[in-house]
Amino acid sequence: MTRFLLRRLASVVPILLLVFTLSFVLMRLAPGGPFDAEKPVPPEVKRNLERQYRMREPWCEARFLPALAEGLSPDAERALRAERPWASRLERICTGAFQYAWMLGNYARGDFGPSYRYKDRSVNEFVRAGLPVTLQLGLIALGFALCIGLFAGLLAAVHHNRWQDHAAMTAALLGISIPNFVLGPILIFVFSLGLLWFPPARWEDWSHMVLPGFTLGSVYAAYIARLTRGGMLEVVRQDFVRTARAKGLPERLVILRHAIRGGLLPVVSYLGPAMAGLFTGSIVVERIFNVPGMGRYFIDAAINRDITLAMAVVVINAVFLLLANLLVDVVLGLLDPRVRYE
Amino acid sequence: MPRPRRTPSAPLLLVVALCLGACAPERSTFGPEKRRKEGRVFYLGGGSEPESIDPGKSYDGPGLDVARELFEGLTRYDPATLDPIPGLAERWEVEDEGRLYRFHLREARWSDGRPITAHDFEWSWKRVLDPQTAAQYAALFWDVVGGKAYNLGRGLREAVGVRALDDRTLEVRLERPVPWFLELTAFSPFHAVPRHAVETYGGDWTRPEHIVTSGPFHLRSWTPNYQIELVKSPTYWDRDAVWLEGAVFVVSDDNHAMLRLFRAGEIDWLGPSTRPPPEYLAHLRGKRDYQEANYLGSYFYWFNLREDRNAGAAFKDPRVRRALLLATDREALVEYVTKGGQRPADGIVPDIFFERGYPRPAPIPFDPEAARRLLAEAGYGPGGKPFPPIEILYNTHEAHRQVAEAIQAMWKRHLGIDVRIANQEWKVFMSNRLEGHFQLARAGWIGDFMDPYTFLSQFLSESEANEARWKNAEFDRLVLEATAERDPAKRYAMYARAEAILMEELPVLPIYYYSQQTLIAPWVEGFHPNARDIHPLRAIRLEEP
Repeated sequence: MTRFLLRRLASVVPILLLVFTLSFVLMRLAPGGPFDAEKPVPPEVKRNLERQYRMREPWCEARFLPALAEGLSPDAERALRAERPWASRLERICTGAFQYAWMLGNYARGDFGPSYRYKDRSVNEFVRAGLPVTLQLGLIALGFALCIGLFAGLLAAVHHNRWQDHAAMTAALLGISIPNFVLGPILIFVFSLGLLWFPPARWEDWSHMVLPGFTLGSVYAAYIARLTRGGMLEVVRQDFVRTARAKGLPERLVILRHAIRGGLLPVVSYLGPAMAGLFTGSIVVERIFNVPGMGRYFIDAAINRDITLAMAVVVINAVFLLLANLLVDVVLGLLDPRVRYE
Repeated sequence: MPRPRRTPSAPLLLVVALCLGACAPERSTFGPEKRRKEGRVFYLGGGSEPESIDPGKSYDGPGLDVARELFEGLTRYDPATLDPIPGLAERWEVEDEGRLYRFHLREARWSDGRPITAHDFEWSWKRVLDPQTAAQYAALFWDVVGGKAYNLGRGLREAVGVRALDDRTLEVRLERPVPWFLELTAFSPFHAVPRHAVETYGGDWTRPEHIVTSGPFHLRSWTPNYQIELVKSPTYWDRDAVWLEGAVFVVSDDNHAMLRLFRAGEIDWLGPSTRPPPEYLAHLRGKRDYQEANYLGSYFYWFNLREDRNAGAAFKDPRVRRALLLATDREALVEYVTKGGQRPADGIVPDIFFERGYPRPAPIPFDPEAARRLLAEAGYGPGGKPFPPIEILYNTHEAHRQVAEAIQAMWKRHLGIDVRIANQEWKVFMSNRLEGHFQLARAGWIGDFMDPYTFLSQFLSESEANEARWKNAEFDRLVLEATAERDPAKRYAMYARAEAILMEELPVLPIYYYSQQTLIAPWVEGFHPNARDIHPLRAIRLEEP
């Protein structure tokens, strides 16, 4: 078990490095920079900004495009780059390499670096403020998903092919098909603006958490219901369940003590990606309900070309995915005697 | 047998009459009728997360909106007219034909109790100009003697023409007269920052635990992407005039979420950076809490006239540009497409200046007949060469798409030209515009101060913002000479001559003048619609419940 854990944890590092590198390259290749704006800033100011944020490296410029040292106007620089495309490309790669090394060095110290958009803030601050909220929202959603999903799934399995089954599965089908950007506004319309039960947005106390938690959890609840039903139906036909029934155990105990252990295996293996999904899925929900979490940076940071913030979100999400899968593997081993930690 | 005609009974007439009297006058609201919150705290939409609230560095609307409440300049905006009125300076003298300003500061204190001195202003202005600060609004200081050279790294800090004569007197020397200078001193980059806090905490000085402020409000808390909480400053010199005890900027760039918060009574005002989504406008227009006003902005398309690209070869001929403009029914565009109170543009300087005495530009008619004639003169159309297909580039947004599609249809119908429309995500779009990879590109220009210069200066030959790369020496001369003219009427006349040249040559296709739409609760007082949508919170009162 310990060896298994150590081996899995060791594999996390190269995977993260790969994720880091790929997202860095993608962010660098995306056209447009973080400091492009409709009202252009003086070229010297922009150059200083770019130097401060490692988008320009004087050493690389001196090496490949020495003319840049004279402080050319933007048009002149464009013309120069068009004239010498290869030198320009090499200069960009060289600058990128410097930037990559700088960011990697930061990461090694546990520092995600400065945000490119929010001038006086570090990415760590956004993570520190947003991550707990996203986790909280994810946990609430997971709670909703498990409670509703397990209940509906068990109900459907126990009453197989009766009206309870059909009702639960129809609800699950609806849950899977209605995207959360539709469900969220509908819930707000009914419960906030109509009935005035819950606030329509923001994140203060439990009353603010119900609607976003439910919205985010509904799809997962639906999946869990279907998986639970499927898993249970498969298990209740097996010999050990028949044995339990033959012993004369009441049906309730047969289900809760014997069948459920095997019946829930598909749900458990689904929880890994689901937990990561709850983290990323909150992109939309966080916007609709104005929740100050991290999910929204997935899109916003990339759109703003805030390279450090965007990469931090991707790397943190990768860590989550890896850890969640590891956790699932461990739990599966505990639940299923056929699984061995090799 | 003819039936006797029934006459309406008297009671029915009475009901109708009563209903007409009772139902007609009071219009309903979109949000609640009565305030659901208590206390003197004003809740408003803050737009997206501010990039920075450091007045020297902030560059985005949301950041400037917060900074304006936390700090005060030598002058400040009149809440109704936005004209500059005394702020931290109680009076000033203007000498040397508008090239020298001497400000006399009033006795005022920072929020930590230290006095605010002229030295603070001198240091703060030089900080913005310091190339190492990389302040994006630094170019506003280029008219200060030696400012441009220092900002570009070619001059000395000591040579910059701003100097504290003593603790309470600040002297500013300008390279040329700047008629709107007193308005600039009300603008955040010209506000003093607390040197002691900036030097102690560096970039962290704007955090609630470190910040030292000079304005009517102080920063209590700042939760990223959620809210910014201000509280009335106990040290502000004019604190007795401030009615609010606090204000909360609810941060979100989701207009629909803000609309719902307003509807539920969670915010009192949508805020300056949040607009009601266009599809709601028809519904909102009849409501008592909906407001619409003209805005200091122009919406237009750039023609690419650059020499280094042949992207817009057909546009090099000014007759083609005029033909396209004549075939654009801008009246129909604002009435049936944008539908938000915009006005068709006959120029670039927005109509807000007309009521201040700026001469109206000659109206540009919608005349497809003349357009076809011009195009034929330029050698296109029946009997001539086929018009090359052109492309309109815009940033991804529903409203921009609708305008582009309407123009595409107009040019196809009236001129038979094939137009492609292409949308790009904002940063890609901006990058392509700045690099000159476009034929026609959408643009919107929002003024920074109440002088036509803020609109015309982007067309100066050496301006980086001149994305057409259009050059006209006569235009440059008129605009620069106008800035030296201190009589507004004469200055406007010179600007108008310059704008006429612009409209003759058409490096741009003017479309409409902006309008602003907002929702403000009926219990808010001291809110005046104005050209720049700036509403100092010190003037806001919430009607006592």
